[in-house]
Amino acid sequence: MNMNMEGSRNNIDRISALPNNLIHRILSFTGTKFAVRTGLLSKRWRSLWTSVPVLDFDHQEFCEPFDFEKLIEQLVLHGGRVPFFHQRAERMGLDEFVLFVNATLKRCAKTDLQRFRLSAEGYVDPLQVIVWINYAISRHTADLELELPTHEHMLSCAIFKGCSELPSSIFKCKSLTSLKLRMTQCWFFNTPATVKLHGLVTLHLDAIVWRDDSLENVISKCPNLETLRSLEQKISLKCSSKLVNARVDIIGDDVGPCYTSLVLYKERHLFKLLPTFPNLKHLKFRGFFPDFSIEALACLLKHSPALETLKITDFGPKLPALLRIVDDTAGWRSRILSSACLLHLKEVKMKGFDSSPGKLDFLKFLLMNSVSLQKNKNNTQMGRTVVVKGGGGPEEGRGHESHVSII
Amino acid sequence: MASPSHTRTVTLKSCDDVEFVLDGSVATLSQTLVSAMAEDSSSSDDGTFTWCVSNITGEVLAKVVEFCNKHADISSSRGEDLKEWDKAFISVELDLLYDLILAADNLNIESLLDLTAQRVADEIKGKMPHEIRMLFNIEKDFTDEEEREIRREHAWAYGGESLKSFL
Repeated sequence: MNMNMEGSRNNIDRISALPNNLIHRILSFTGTKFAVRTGLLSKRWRSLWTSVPVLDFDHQEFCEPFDFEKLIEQLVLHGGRVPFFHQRAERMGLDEFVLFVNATLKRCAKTDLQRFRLSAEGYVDPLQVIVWINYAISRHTADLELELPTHEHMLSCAIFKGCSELPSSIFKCKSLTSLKLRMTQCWFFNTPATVKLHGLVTLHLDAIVWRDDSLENVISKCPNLETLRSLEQKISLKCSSKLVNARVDIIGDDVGPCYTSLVLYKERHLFKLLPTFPNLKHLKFRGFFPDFSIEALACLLKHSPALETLKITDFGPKLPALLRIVDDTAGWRSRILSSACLLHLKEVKMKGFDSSPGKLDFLKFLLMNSVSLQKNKNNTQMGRTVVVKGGGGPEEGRGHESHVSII
Repeated sequence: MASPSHTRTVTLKSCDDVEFVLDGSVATLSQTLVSAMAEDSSSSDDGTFTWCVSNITGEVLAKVVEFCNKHADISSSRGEDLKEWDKAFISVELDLLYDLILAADNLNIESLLDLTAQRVADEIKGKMPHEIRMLFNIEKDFTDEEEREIRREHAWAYGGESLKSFL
């Protein structure tokens, strides 16, 4: 950062004179690596870092690229002699990183934590991950985030070692307001006996395998949940009425893994059970979105009267002939009453849109149901030639930023 | 009893008698002012409230008021623009930065506390202890004995050899 930084005027050490709570606040922004380092400054600083209410371990920070500018700076500063440390790129392997994390945790005070974040790439022993989760729970963490993605080739190794179960104590952690788990190792939850997550506002669960209806069960017991991100689609069936943002990721390059989670949408009787999501404003589907779940999507939209934006990052290709047998998109529109229920829908983005009957039907559904889209039909942009025939006159909108993009 | 919503204006008085008049809605950014207004029973009916900050100078208070006015203005408080504004606002010398931290703490303005703390944190991040000491005028007050002990203590974190450059 190129800022006017001239040190303190009268060579007075004002930072050390700040009260502990303010130094703690400063150190909660440095990341734990640099917070720990301040323990080497002076007596005043020696143990200040141990009670910072934020623990943030990022393996990336331990693998800083070689800084040439810094080397020159050091050469000038030390009259040609460079401290050993700068002669090599700072690098710490994953094993060393794990040791560092554990050594740090051991030295920390046992005060309540606002935030515990740990990010590392590579295979970490599941037992170690469980130890960290339990540690965070024991310190009444409000915001827990674990990011442990594994490379594809590592994944097979992880699967070989078997699945691991996340500790059920995580569901009894009343202090949690935000829980973000992004782990590509194989994890699963069993239906927990007790769920006490009344304070939970944000939940991101990526690449976690759920058994039975565990996730639905958990979500139904989070009355304050506002943001949810998960891999499975069926979660949207039973979630909190406070939900504002939902993002559904669908993984897998081939069609295979999607089916299990999408099957539910084909069970038409379940649509009737859909609750209303009065506050859902943003809905995003990432990944392959097959034709036959369009009816389900339309149903979901009907139950989300406050929806403002809808994004589908990839509509799947036309289904192979064999699969089209189960595809019964024709006629679904007549089963869903069209009475302009989407009063707030302003933006729709769809990628991979082709002229399959199901998708065209869906587009018609959108145009018929969305009040502001109807007003702005002139704004409908299309990258591909798709003929849209919808009812309603081409009124000019009153400056609404509403549009449909088909990329 | 006056609640912030009933108070139309708040007058802030610095230790060197400089006065700033704030809109009631702007003053709600300060938790200290919110509680003070809630407790104040003598507040006049015309909706004004005066608060003296005994240890903040007019120069510093002017910055704080500038920050509050910007952040309370909903039309300008939008994402990237506000971030840019914050960045420019906080590009100040260390001395003023400390004054701002202490003022933000005194008036309990959460967003200003975060901004100032982040700014100091950015200075600490990526630096070696001797560089941090130089920047902030921190005196290394360890005895030789203590220094040896600290070297041992911190060996777990950074490995023995690289530690040489830390002290």
